[in-house]
Amino acid sequence: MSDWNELRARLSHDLIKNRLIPATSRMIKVVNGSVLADPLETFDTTVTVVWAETNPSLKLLFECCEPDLTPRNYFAVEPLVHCPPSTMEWLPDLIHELWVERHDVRGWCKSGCALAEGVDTAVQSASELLKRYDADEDKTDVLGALLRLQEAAIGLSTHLSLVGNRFMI
Amino acid sequence: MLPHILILDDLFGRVVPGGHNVDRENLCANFLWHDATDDVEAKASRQKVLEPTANAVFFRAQSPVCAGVGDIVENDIEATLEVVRGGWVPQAGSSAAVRAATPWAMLLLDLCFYTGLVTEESHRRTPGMPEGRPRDDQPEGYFGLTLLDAIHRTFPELPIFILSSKPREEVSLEFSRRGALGFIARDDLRGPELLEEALWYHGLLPDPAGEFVGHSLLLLLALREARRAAGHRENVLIKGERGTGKELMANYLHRVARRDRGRPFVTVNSAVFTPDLFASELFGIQPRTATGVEGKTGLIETASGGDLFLDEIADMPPEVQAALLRVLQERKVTPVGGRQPTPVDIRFLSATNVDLEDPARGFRADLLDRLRTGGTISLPKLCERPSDIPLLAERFVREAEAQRLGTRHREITDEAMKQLVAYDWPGNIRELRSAIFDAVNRHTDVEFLVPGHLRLGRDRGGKLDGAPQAKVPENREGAAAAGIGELGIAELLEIQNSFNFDPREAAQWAGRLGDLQLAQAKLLARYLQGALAMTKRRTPANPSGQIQIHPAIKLITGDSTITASKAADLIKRLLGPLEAELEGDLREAYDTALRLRPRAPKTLAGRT
Amino acid sequence: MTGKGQVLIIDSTGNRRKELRELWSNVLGYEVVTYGDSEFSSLSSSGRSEILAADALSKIQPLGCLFHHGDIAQYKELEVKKVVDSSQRVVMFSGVGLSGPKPEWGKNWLWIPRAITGRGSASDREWRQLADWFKAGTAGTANARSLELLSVKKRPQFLIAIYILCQGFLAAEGMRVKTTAVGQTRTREWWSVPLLKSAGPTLVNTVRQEWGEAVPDPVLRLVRWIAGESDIEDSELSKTVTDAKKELECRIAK
Repeated sequence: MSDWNELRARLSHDLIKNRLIPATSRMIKVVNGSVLADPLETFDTTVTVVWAETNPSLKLLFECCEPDLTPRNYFAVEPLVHCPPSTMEWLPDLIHELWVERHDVRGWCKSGCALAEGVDTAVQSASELLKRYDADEDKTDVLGALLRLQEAAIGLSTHLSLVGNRFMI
Repeated sequence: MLPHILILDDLFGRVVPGGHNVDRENLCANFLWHDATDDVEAKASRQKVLEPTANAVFFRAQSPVCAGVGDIVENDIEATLEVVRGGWVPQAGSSAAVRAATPWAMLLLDLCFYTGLVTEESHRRTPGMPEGRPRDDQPEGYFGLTLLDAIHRTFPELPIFILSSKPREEVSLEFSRRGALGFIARDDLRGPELLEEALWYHGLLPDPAGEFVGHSLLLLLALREARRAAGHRENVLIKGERGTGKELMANYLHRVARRDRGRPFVTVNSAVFTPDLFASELFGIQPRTATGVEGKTGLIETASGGDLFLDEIADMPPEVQAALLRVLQERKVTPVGGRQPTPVDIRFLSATNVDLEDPARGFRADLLDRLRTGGTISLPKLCERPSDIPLLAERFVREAEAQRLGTRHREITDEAMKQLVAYDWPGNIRELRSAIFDAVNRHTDVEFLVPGHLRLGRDRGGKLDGAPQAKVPENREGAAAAGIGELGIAELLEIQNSFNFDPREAAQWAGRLGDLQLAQAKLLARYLQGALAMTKRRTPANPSGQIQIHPAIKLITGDSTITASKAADLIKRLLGPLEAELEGDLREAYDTALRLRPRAPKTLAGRT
Repeated sequence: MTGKGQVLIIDSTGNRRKELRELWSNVLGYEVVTYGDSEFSSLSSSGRSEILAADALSKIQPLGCLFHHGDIAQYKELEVKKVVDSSQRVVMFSGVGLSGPKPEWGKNWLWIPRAITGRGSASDREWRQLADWFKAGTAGTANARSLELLSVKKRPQFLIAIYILCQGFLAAEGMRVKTTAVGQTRTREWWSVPLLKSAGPTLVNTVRQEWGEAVPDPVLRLVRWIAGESDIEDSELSKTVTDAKKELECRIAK
């Protein structure tokens, strides 16, 4: 449980809030001319690098949510490990289903995956535009793509922050 | 001059071994900061902020600053306090140190600082960062709060804001209790705007226009109070000894009122107004109130929508105080001879160098209360801001040089500067200006001003600033526009009354009648010039002011009954001998006097 | 040797010993010396393994020692004692958890309260904190209390267990499970078997400790009934369990 939560906190806080979102803000400033830097190089060394680390971990997070957090795990440790077989036959599965239902765990994971895909798409789209971008040209498309990326990242971070202690039991 | 901000943060302050602190670059780009840290990270940055909003200096607050795998990172309060100290109030008396140092405008403080071992895994995730210990991440264990305690205790005037990605509600009580002024969430996209607002309201910022020279703590605190007052329309009282820049502060208050750009700013010297004059000047006159009287808009109505600066309010006659109180209470003004009051929306900025609460002063307490509803700003004495003396001195040297074409460029030596810094300046900035002008004007053929060139305090004994000035500099510190110092005039009179021409030294003074007459004429011209500047009528249409010869003559004669015609005659007598040299206000006064009284003036020796 | 130092693991349970050995060498980067039940062997982080001869034992100077409580009898072996005593820190663990020091332990030995059945019984981060603490090497237990793995402030496992049992009871009441379960859940034994087997006669106190402040009436009533200290009328049982469940839900969520 603490491993999963640790991963969640790391993704939400360390990677998305502290790295990805600031990197998108920086990119916007580079493209709009407030900051002088190579746009594509900056994007590749900040956004692309962070997302490359974040994305697979996100997939893992959503995949492992149910098995890692299920209250079924409490039956492997004290004191419920001492439950007799007649209880073990039905209680762990029931508790699991009640938990899944109460917190809409599967719904949360599904939304999370969709949001992660949204960010992924936005990263690809911004990357493609930047490869073709010329500083003398109209910045509207590129800026639009970066803003959408930023919005998607914020949405994902908010979604990850929703969990907290909620899924504990 | 960009504000200097110190950021204490483990993530942004760390030096990445053999690499690049991308996080710091992201932050600097986002907030549009120039990384002024002077470490390898700053030098290796691959970006340039084109119009930075601040110079940002980063420090990790931990040791080692550059950590690799196997290192143990620990929090370091002592080293942090040293860094803060390094950018705080410069040492008094050290001109070299003063020129180098720019005090922190603000400190931004992170909450959570990770400590412990830098493992391969933690280094892979974030180069140079340790694994962290359990308490690091818990609100009760935040090192940022410990630092806040220590820094606020040691530097209570330093404005501190929390800049963190932790939830605000975790620490909202604690950060206020321990002295932080606010909280900016690092992931808040409005961060740059919030910080700009925070700097404006809480930061210690010098005057970007350069009208106020200096960056001593007391000056910056006064400027901050002025910016805070600029956010409302309440009346403000400015306190300070003579020569500390009260009118300058009033100007600053008006200038920084962001909502009030373009609104009027009118200056009134309360001492000038006799009971006879005040009504018409302040409230205006209805046309044809008396025979030959033209209507005139009063200064209060002129300033409506903006600010009215009342200088030397301690000298305001009781009748004026009563009338002014009515205006403050009713927010309406009725011109002399009029019946219809006019509503006014006006902020009063008042200045004094005395304690108005002292009953012996006879200043109405109810008026005083209304004049300071928006607070009181105290201007420090010059001797209380010694670190600014070198900056002021250099400014005045340049000013004095600019008044004489072709003059040599002067530099003040370290010894001379030490002397300037050590002197207590009872006349404050005005006196410093006089002393510098005196030194520059008396020593025209030198490149260096040394202690021997300086005449401080009584040493200057009666000698005035160089040649008559065609223009009296306005709205500058030490401007003569605010009045003549009593110290100077007393000594001047003493010298004049007691100077003897020893017969045994006739060789020295023989043949100098013309010079003496010219010097006397120039002295009187400068006397008049000061009075003209003092009594100028400033309006939005004419912010530099319109001279008024009648009030000026009343001021120098001390005779409120003198007629306009006699005033014109006196001006012709005073300025007639210098007619060919007159410029600026003096020229205008003379021409006005001639228009009013075209006949030739009497000689200078004649009395009024 | 990596330069991080050595860690000693004494554990006769083969799989767990192997898991912990791999954790401390491959992940945490230590040279690991293990003792099963008869011999010391060392495994470096590069994967090299060897059995240590008697004369090599004196060179073992572990920064820390993880000692399975079930193998405490080994401490009487001279060689084992010598090596364990040369450790700067000794931390006891057990597959069922430990509630405090035992008389047969050495002085200043610490313990891991939770059950350690393998690497997965703690997070990598918690293991790393322990490793870091070993490395820091300062004597005394002052910092130990801040380590999650050694902290007695842990998840309220009994409160969670009782909450789960409440859920089971109510589901049975609501016929969400097969009918045999309904009968089970209404018996005191159904509740007490797992709870008393773990907490023994200290169940009520354990619950008080976990709760941290005054335990609400319904919860206390239920726990006392489970512990056999008092009775609940059969007709009252459902209401008591319902009320207790609500209180437990709020408390656990904190």
